[in-house]
Amino acid sequence: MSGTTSTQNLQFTTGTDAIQAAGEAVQDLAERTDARLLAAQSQLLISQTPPLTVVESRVTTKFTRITDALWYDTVLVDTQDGANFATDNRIITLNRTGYWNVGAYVQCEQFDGVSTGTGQMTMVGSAGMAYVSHQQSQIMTGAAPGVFLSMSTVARVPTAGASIYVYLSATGTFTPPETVTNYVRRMWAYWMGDL
Amino acid sequence: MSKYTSNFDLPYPASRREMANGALASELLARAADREISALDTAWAAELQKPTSILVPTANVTGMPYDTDNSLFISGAIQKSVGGSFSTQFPKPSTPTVASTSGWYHVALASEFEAEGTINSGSYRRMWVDIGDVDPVYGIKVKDRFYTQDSQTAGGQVNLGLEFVAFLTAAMVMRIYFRHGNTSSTVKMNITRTMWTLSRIAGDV
Repeated sequence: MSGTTSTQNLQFTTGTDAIQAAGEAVQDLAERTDARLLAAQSQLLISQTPPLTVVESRVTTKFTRITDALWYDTVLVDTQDGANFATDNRIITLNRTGYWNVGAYVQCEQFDGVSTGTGQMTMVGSAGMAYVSHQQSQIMTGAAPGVFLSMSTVARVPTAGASIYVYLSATGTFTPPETVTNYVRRMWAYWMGDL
Repeated sequence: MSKYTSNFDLPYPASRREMANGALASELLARAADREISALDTAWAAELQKPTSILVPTANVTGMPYDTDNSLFISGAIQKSVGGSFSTQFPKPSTPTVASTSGWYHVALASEFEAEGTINSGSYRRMWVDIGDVDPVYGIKVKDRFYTQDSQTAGGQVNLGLEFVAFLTAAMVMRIYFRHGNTSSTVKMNITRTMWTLSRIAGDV
C-alpha cells in the first residue's frame, strides 16, 4: 500500500494502488487502529486502578522491639498481588517499577520497660530499592499512655518485586522486657507513576 | 459517502463504484474508530481530574480545658465538649460529606497546639479523627478512628501530624478531636492552625 500516516504508521491506499488492494487496506487499517486503541486503554486502566495494597491487623500482639517485624492478617485492598500471607505476612511486595507511596500507621500501649523516652516506628525497604528506611517517633508520657504513629514517603522502585516492612523500637531509659503491645497496625503501598 | 436507511441509519453503498472500492467499509471503520477514540478521550479527561481536597476550618478551637475532648467538623463549625458527653454536646454537621466520590484516599492532618499558662513535665497533646456515616442524632456513627499524640516538657507550640490510607464513601463524614493533659488544671490550650488534605488514590476496587 502506498500511504502511511506519519505518527501511528496507519496504512491506506492511494490513487496508484489497484482496486483489489482496497480490501486489504481496510483490514490493515482496522487492525492497526485496534492495536493502538488497546494500548491507550491499557494505560487508562493502570491510572484508574493503580497498583495498591493495604494490609492491616487488629489482633492485640506483643512484639519484641527491633527484632520483630509487624505482621498482618487482613487485606483491605490489593490490586497488584502485593500481599501473600502464606509466603510472608509481614511485607508488601511492590510488583511494578516506578515511584511508590509507602506508609504505615500503628496504635500501641506504652512501651514495656520504658520509663522515659520515645516510641519509634521504622519502615524498611528491601535491597535494590532506592530507599533504605525512615522513622517516626513520639515522646511517651505516663499522663496519657499510648503510642500512636503514622508516616509515609515516596520510594523509588527500579526493579519489580521489592518489598517493605515495619518494626517498632524505643530510645531512652528502659529495662527488660523490651517489648511493645500493638493493637492496630496498617501498612500501605500505592504506585504513583513510572520512572 | 454511503447512504443510510431512514429509521435505523443502516448503511449501504451509494453506488457500484462505492461497493467496489471499499468506501463503505472505510467509512464504517472510521466512524467506529472515531467513537472509541472519543470515549477514551472522555475517560482520560475524567481520570486526570483526581479529586483532591485541602481543607482548613474557618475557625479553630480556643481555651480548651485539660482532659476534655474538643472537636471540629469539616464544615468549619467548632464544637466544644465539656465533660465528654457525646450525645448531647455535638450538633449535627451542616455540610457533612468529605469525599466527593467513593474510593481509596490518602488522608493527612496537621495541627498546632499552643498553651496558655505554664506547661508541666509529662503533659500530652492528642489529636484523633473519627470516620463514619452521618448520624441524625450524634452527628457521626464512628466506623474507624486514627490517633496521633506527643508530649513535651516545656511550654510553647507542639505540632502534631497524622496520616493514613482508608476507603471513604461519598456519604461519610470525618471529625477531628483535640485533647490535652497537664498536671495543672489551670492550663488551657488553643489550636492555632489545622490543615486537612484528602488525595484520591483509586476508586472502589
